[in-house]
Amino acid sequence: MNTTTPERNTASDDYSFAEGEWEVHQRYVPSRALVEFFEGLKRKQILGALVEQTGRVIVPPQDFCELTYQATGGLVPVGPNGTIRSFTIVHSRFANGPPPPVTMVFVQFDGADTASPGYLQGWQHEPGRELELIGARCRAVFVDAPQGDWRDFWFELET
Amino acid sequence: MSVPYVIGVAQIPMRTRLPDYTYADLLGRIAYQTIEDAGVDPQDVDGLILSLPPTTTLGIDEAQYWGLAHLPGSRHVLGRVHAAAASGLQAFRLACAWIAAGRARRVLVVAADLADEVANLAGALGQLHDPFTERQVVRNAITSAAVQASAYMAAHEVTLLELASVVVKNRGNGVRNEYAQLRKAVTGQEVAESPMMSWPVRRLDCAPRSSGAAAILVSSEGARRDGRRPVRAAGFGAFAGARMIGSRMVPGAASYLDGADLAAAAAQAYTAAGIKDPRHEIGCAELYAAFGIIELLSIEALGLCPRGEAARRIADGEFHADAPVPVNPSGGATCGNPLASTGLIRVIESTLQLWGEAGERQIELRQPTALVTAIAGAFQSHEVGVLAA
Repeated sequence: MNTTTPERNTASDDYSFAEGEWEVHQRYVPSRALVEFFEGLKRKQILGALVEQTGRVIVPPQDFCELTYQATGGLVPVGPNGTIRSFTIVHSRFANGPPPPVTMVFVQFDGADTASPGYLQGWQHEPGRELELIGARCRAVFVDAPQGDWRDFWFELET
Repeated sequence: MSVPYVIGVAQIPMRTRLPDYTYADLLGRIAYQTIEDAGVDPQDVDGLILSLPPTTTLGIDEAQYWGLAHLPGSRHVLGRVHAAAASGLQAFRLACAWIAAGRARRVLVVAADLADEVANLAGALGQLHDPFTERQVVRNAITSAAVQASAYMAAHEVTLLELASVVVKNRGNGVRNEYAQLRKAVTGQEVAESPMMSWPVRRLDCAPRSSGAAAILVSSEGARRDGRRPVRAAGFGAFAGARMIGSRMVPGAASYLDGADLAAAAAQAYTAAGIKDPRHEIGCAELYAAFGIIELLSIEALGLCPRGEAARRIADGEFHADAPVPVNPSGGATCGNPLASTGLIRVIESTLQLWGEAGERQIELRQPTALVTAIAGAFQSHEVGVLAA
């Protein structure tokens, strides 16, 4: 087998890039179920898509069920309370994220068969006790004036 | 049906930057090295598949505009695969399928990555997520792995130090790999004290950002070079998991947290290859693992040890280079992870082991069989392959 070693030291900075930037405006089409879901958020209500054949409830709602490939039926209310299935405490500043540290949780709303991502607020991080979050009960808390956006709510632990 | 064999391989040492190459240069150079390694005439290549990064990381400049006429097999282009970190293995699987179907005699698979061409890799990959529900939270590769790691630690009472055992093993193996980007061993303490990225994932637990290139020539005939044992693709499996990873995190449907999706892909590959007892029939494994937790879930899902035991077993020396089933004797993605090439590199490293051409990292194989994996998306799409000599 042949080996090609780069001819220059790759740690060097003596080369330049031609700078470029994408200017591509995109307009994403939400599914019917998501449109209804976001309308529900404006009323401070969490909705899931019901798979009528199996009773499975999907949050965030989709127009089809990934397990049965059946079209989902109407939306049903879930939560606002639920159970944390997993989590991470984000310590790095990512391009699309808030200032760290921030705790991201996946919560199974009561009445739902899936877990949904969101931020956990009002929780005091105690090193060594992080894993106690898994299985913990929490609830969705809404902003005062929801706009119909995933960021309209966050989670807080049940008291 | 024709049997597909690997008859030529080449890779470029992985680096953060490869300043002397453009994408077209990389593809050309690695392609011809592979042809030379196989000892065949470039004119005899009658199939070409490109394995390239997703468009948002590749840039607007796409391969179809590069003018590929200088590449072997360019008169028989079969397509471009860009399934993120699964690209290389998926492209290899498709090349083998094309050979097996009798549609070609020699198919070249070529991968290239120039990771430093995209200034914000996390941002570029973030464009792949759902625009309505996922971009609103920091759901990226690091946080996804961290979510898996948290659940694994809780389910199996695994400590942060035990979690670090994967990286310690792989970085130790990488020292002997001339192609590795990271060739310095680390201790569990160093991993545990490195900056926290997203609890419980620390910086040293994350694969580096890598540039690189790799290529494989697949043939309907066995090895041409003297002394090489024919290495055949014995079986493949693939599984595309849930679009929303949260839909597989609940009791009764927790495949995102317990590796069941990968197990489903492995079952296909084992059936095709006639593997019934992987613990005793696999000689080595090159498993895609950009984070330690991915390797733990993979080892267990592939049936190499019971669920929940991989971390402690690695900490006790199992799956190391001198163990009965070495996992990532090359150092794996821990020591270099060019996105579109990494799946092909898993195949190349396994082939080199089966040929006995792995140099300082050569291991003694208990069985002439190797297992390879690659994972894409937010770790919910899986590729598994079995190679046999």
